[in-house]
Amino acid sequence: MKILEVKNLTKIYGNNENSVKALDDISFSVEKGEFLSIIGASGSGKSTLLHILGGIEKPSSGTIFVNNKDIGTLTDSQLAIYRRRTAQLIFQFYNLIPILNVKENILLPILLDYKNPDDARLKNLISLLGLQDKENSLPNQLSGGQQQRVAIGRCLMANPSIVLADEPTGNLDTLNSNEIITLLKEYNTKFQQTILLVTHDIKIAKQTNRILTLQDGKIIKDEVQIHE
Amino acid sequence: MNNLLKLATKELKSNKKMVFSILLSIILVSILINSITTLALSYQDYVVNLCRNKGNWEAQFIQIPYDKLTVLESDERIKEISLIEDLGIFSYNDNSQELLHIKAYDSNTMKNMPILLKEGNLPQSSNEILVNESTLLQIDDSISILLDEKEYVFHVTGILESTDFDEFNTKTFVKTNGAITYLNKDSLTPNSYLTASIVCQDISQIYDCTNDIQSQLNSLNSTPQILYNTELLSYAGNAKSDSTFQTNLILTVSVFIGIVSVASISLIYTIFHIFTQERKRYIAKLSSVGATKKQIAMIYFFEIIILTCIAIPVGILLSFGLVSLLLHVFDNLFTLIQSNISTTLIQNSISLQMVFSWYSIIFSILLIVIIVFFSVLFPIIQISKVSILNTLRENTYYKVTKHFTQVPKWLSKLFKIEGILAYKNMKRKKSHYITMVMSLTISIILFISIYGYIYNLSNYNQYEQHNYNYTLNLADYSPEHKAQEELIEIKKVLQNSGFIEEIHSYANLNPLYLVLDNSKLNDMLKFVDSKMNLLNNSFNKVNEHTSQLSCLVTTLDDATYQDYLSQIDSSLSLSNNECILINYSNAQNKYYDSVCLTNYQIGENLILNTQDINDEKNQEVLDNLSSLVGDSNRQIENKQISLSIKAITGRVPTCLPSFTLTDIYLIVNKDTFSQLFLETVGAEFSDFTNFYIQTSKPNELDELVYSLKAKYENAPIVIESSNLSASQQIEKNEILIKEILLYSFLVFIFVLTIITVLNIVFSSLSMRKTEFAELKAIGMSNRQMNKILFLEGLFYGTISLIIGIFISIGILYFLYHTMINTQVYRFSIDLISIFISIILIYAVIFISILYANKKLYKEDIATIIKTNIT
Ligand SMILES: Nc1ncnc2c1ncn2[C@@H]1O[C@H](COP(=O)(O)OP(=O)(O)OP(=O)(O)O)[C@@H](O)[C@H]1O
Ligand SMILES: [Mg+2]
Repeated sequence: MKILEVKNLTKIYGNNENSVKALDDISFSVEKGEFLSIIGASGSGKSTLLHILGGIEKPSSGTIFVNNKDIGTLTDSQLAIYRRRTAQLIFQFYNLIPILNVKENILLPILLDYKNPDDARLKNLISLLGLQDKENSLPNQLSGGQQQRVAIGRCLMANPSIVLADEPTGNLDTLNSNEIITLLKEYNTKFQQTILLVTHDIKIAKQTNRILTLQDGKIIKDEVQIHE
Repeated sequence: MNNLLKLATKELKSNKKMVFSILLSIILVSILINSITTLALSYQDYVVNLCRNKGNWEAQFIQIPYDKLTVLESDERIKEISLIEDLGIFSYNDNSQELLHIKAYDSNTMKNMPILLKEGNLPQSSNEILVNESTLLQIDDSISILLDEKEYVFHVTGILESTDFDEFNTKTFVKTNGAITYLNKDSLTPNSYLTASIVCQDISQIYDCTNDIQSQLNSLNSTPQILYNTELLSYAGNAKSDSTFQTNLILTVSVFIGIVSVASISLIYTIFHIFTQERKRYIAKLSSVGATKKQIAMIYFFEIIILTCIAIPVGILLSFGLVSLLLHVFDNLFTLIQSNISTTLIQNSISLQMVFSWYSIIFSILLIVIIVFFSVLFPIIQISKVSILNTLRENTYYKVTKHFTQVPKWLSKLFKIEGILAYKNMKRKKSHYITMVMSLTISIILFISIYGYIYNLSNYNQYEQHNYNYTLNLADYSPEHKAQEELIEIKKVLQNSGFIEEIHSYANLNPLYLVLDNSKLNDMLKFVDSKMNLLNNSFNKVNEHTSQLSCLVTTLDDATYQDYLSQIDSSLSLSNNECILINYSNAQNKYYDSVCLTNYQIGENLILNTQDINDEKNQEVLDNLSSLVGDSNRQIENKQISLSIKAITGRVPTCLPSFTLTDIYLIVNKDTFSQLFLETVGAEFSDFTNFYIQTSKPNELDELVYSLKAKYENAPIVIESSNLSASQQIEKNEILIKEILLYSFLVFIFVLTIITVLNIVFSSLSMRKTEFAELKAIGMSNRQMNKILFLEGLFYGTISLIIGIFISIGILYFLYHTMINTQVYRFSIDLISIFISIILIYAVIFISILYANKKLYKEDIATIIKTNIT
């Protein structure tokens, strides 16, 4: 089942004279349950692609279908709901809300949806993230790795169709990075969670199902990896 | 030092937006403060000039012999001496009914004292004369009088409107008419007694001057009485006896300046605080390359000094422009209003002019400097203490230090996640929270208190305002009251004129005198009386144990009477020889808003005398007057009247004038009144002769009354009328000035508030820009974000309103008891002002949130996140 289909996506920054083509006529699709990594040199357009898929930036041209729905046709408030329920972003710099504690940060997308949180699921997730004794801590009382786990927890708790992670390990040491990737992988296999992961680290990319390589805003390689 | 200055100017140039708002705030503050002092000075000047218009004199030497005048003339401090010789009361041309009271004015008096000339010219020589319009005389008539057995002939050159020395003596039924001739100094003998009014070069020297002159005169065996123009002196702030005006003015100015100072400090503090906090990183960088705390503080002080030096002159100049514009507008407004009132009351109207002194400017500048200094002191101390490491490491503007406990349950239940976020946001930074609440609270307090003050002011005005604007008094002075028919005719004409909308009639007996035991005098009266610096006691001492109070017995026309009775008690009615005692005086006094006069109880009897105990002294005068009109057999003997008290009240019938401490009012029914009239006057009481009239055409009524006066010139009738609409208008104008000033002050304060709130909201939102972008990235909609902002505004507004309303009620109560103590009204809180301030506060908050929101969030979420993270 196709969960995401990108057709002729182009993103141009700036105006005529000094414009930058961050994405250049990109097309690809993703099946449900795929764990896809996107690699490429700095400035190749990885973040731009993720931001557009995450609905926080508008494409210059092209269409994106998520669950067979064209997200270009969504209004601002529909787009907010799309971000909340369908495509959750994880950033390199965690981006937690400093005034909310760990539990509240994780529950944020659900609370924004005015839904009652599933306590059992929350408890599960927190123990999966290894944050049992940090539930009531504020972000600035956590280490970088812990903060990123909270950000991932926030993303997974929302149970989105697609997880869009932009270098979630870019700021962490190897040990912490491995833990995060393992976590994502586990979630991917256990719950058939679709994940798009941007990374610089080829070793991390190697652990995913499929690698997309970007260069100057174009896909130059799309290889599927078969793991035993 | 020089380098720091350079750095300071460079910084200023690179922060145009912020510099502009600091400059603007200091300019605003300068405008406000200088306007307040200038307005106060101009107002004082206006009032003093108004008073000089009524008679330009500061002190008067009464009955000074002509040859002692050199003492005054040789005193260098005296600018001008005006002389009046009272020639006395005369009958003229053998006319027995009309008397002339002739005074001789010198040219200075003609200039300085108000002479209401109806037609003709001022007298130029001692055989020319002005006479009152109520006489039968015309211009160019000649009159001859006998003085010291010599005959003097005067030529009438002009007709006067009624003067203050026209009088109608109720005891002798003799009317004397004012007349003014020219005072020729050559004809004065050394023994001529004069009244010399003086104006000093410098009004503050008046007491020194008069004291010196008095001692010199005493050494010359002359002891003239000295009278001071206390009204004028008190307005000029120089009266010894009465400093109420000056104290009130200073108090008012201080209250306003205090208010402005608090609001200003809150404004400048906020802006400067934000200004420094926004550049924390820059400061941290500066100190990381070696700038000391002192140097950083100096940079900011230099900056603020430069800005203040620019802002103060601009602000002061602007305030002068503003004040003179304001006064000009008022002036034109009043001329416009006054042109609709054809009356001589406002003859040469005084124009409102801007007045300032160098002292007031220096005072303003000093005050502004102090305000600015205190506003920037704490932000500068704070910023110079910035820790380098923490600041450079800090990712967001708000360092979260407090571990948040739970958000109140009802709040998260009611407002969901937005409520939680709003609540936590509000609580995250204490100094920000306090600044916001403080500046909102201050403007709420200012608003409610000023509005309340205006409300009470107009309330007071209503209290004072009666529903009549015209008074008319008729008197029949024929010996046997033979002129009743004419009076009835006059009343008919008036009633059929169509100018009268409502009419209240009353009749008074000649003043009666209540002799009472001192135990019946209320202590409050004694206390207030002793404090009021009155020339005379309101009660006259008869002997050790008894006093005399003057007493007015009144009856009212049926409708007014019934209405009045029902106001006191619906079942009240008066039988013969019963009265209602009005036992409270609402005379303006600063000690109590009403004074209880006596300790009488219901059921007691009052014994009233027709004879004043002072009358023995007056007897001679009365006899003289009687002999002048050839009616020397009019006997004046005391009669006693007894009335029993049926009710005691503080309520005065609406048609009676607000009365003073000196009078007790007794209301009786018509039968009792007729009987008393017969007993005391010796004639039948026929009908009411005093009227309070409500008319919408006072000028037309005025003309009608004048024509009646002309028609009955030869009848033994006195028609006295007074058009109150003009003086009411003047009063209204004064209230209007106050109101307009206060309202514009309110507007100014509100502008200050809006700027402060806008600054806080704007900076707070711009600092939280990234945070909001992140919230949006994980799925917060615009509506949800607006809801958070609105909830924050709601929290801030509500907390500030609760604090503000409580404090302002306290302040109003305090003001009621101190500042407005001379006025008579009950303390009341205006709910409308509270309601308006609630609406305005929320409006200010929400509009600034919307505005800031719109300006700040035009950018893409992605762009904000990208630019602010690295
Ligand atoms: N807001 C912007 N305005 C103009 N140009 C932009 C903007 N954002 C990105 N770009 C440009 O678009 C191109 C793609 O940027 P993008 O952030 O997608 O690169 P990236 O692959 O994520 O690089 P990195 O690995 O360093 O994060 C770059 O050349 C960048 O300069
Ligand atoms: Mg990137």
